Amino acid sequence: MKKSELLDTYFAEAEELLNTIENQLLALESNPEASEPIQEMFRSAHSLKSASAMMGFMHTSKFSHSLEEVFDRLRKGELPVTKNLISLLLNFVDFLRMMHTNITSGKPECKAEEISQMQAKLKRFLSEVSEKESTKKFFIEPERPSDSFFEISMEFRDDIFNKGQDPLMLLLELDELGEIIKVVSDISRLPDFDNIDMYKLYISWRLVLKTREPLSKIEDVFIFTRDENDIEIKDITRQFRDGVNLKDADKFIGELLLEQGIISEGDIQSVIKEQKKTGKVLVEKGIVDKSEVEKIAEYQKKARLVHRRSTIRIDLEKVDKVVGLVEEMAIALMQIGEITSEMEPSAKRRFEIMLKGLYKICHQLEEQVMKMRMFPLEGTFYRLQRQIRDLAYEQKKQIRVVISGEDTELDKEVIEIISDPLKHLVRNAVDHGIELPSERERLGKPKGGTIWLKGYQKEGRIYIEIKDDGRGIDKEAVLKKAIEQGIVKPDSTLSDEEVYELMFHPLISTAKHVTSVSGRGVGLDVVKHNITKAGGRIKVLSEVGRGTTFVIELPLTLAIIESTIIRANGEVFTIPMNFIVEFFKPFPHHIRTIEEHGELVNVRGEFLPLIRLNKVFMLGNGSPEPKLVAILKGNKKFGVVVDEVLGEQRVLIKSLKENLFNPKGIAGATVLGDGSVSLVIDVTGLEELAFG
Amino acid sequence: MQPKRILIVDDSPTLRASLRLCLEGAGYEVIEAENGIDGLRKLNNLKREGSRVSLIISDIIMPKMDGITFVKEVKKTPFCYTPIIILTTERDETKRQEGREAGAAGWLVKPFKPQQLLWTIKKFIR
Repeated sequence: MKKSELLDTYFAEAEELLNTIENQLLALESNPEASEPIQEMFRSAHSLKSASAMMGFMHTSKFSHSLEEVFDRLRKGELPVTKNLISLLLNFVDFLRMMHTNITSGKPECKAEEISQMQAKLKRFLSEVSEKESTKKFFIEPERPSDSFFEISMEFRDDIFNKGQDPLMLLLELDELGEIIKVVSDISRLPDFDNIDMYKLYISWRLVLKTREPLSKIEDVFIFTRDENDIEIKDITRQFRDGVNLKDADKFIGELLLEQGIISEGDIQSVIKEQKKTGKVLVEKGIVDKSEVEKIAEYQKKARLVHRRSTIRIDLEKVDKVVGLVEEMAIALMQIGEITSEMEPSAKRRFEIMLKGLYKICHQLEEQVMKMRMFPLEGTFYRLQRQIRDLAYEQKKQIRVVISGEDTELDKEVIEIISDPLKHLVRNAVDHGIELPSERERLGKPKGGTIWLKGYQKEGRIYIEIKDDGRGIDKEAVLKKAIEQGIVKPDSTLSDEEVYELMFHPLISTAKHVTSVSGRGVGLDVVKHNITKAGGRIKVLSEVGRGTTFVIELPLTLAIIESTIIRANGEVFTIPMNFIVEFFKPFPHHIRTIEEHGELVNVRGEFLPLIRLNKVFMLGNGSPEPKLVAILKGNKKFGVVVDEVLGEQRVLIKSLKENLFNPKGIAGATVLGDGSVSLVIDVTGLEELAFG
Repeated sequence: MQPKRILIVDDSPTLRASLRLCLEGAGYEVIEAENGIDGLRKLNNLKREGSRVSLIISDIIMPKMDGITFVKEVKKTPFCYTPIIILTTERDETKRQEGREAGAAGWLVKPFKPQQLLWTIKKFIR
């Protein structure tokens, strides 16, 4: 165990704890009656406090301590669970996360004033709450606590050194708590020099410590010494600051009123009893049906079952290196397999059996290594849930989020690419999908809307669904807009699917509002572009008044892809299989050149633009008569002239960036079964290159 | 001479790692457990091997089985004479008292410095 590894351990733990707190806060919000989230958050804040303190991140520690105190009060039922409180606490989690990010990137945690600002915020909030608790309002809130002064006198047993203790360490520790503004050493017991026993202590001290720490912190310094030695700690703040006892600043109004005999314990209890939990109030006021609350409680129970995973952090680069090696091994095995044709039959059979075993192991190894690149959708979904919550809060909408399949795993790179598109879609669902509570009520819908986030795996592809029960897409409006923009001819009849497809058109999707009723604003074309780039597809289903569903289909991984190997203009290229629609054998009359549009190929009545790779990649002259056309679909369908199809293979893409510039239209290179190198075509890039 | 063995029980990987770093640096052998239940399991394993442990360091607030219960449970096993140090934070004064009553021999306040840890240990391991 090295120091740097210790730091990594801490990073991983802190991240996990922050995630837990955030998720549990959201769980608590959807079910304010539940006690388990509070317990879990309390434990997490506590762990974060001690772990960060051990690592010397004192701001983080101090701040998690504040959080822990709030959770403790929630746990004891001293604070009501309110939307405001949860917003505030989420803010705090963000702040802790910011400090965490700073630490991981080697920066200081935060500025001192930021911490005090956040803490002041909390204090303000808490004092507002206690203000409400108290029925009498004439009491003036004391100022924020500032420095306290303690007088500490220390007289140790003279054999203290034998116990392995050293007063100097205690003095140094006290100095760390604040400032020692006065020290008086009593050396009256010091004997003559000749009589000094160097193993004995003759000196005692009396000092004044100026500090912001509470008394308990000072007492902790003397934790092992207090029992057997004469230690006295006196709070002399009053003498330094006349009038108000600044210690009272930490107390709650109720507490002070009680101390001063203005109210009785019973008064406080009755006030606290009057505060009800949000869920109960919502049911009573008829905002939420009781069955809804119960349903959420059920969901929450499920959410709790998501166990904490024990994890280690590995650099993605290291994993990729292993992936590369495994792939090279697979290729080497294939090459060995080719030697068998030169062997005599009996040896050949034995050899092939063993080779088969090796293939199997290699395949399993590949699978396991690929799994290391995989992450559950969990984190992404919870971040989206948080975003939905914040947006809904801003727009005064009531939105419930139902998450399922959050343990579905996919490639980290894919997750990164789709995280922005998902944010877009979720924002659209909140902004334009879900109606305001009053409007929903008028429409006879439940006041609160619902957004479903769902992940699942089917036939080697990952599916993510974002579904809302909002107003849905007004097809007429989309069509009208498309006609206005000249994308669609006025008299054309389009299927539902084709109309929804129009929403991803740049001219329509970037329009602020399609109509005042159904605008689906923010750049859906960008969403589609990113998803296509990740080798995925997006589909929309919608019903007016009932809601909209976006279905995103993604590959499991970007590193290894099913590909078709083709030859074009004498060069061997690899095309990712999911972009290939079909191969088409044209007759000469299927190919036409039309001015402005260039070459087109007529595929059963559909005219598609035709690309010649020799022109796009400047490879010299190609054959004048295309014998075979690969029909590809990136953002749109188009044809590519090829000479022949060589076969199919799972290929590992290697980046060209390190050795070359990043050529457009080329995703990278791969090593084929025979050991030769082939360029992998980036279909969307090629599209941009050819059509601009 | 065989190195002295110490069992640490804490749910925080950071705490476990820093304890290990410090203790191994001082020549102790370290066994880790994530919570009280896990701690008892580790002790049980040691018992089956016929091995001993010189000291137990345990956190208080842990999932599954907390430190106080753990201390009480250890006192029912053949390891009842093994000194136990509990780790607390400044707010756990009542817990500290509870720990003491349950049979913990000493306590250490988080965060602690390596030399504080080693001093405390030396009080219990000769």
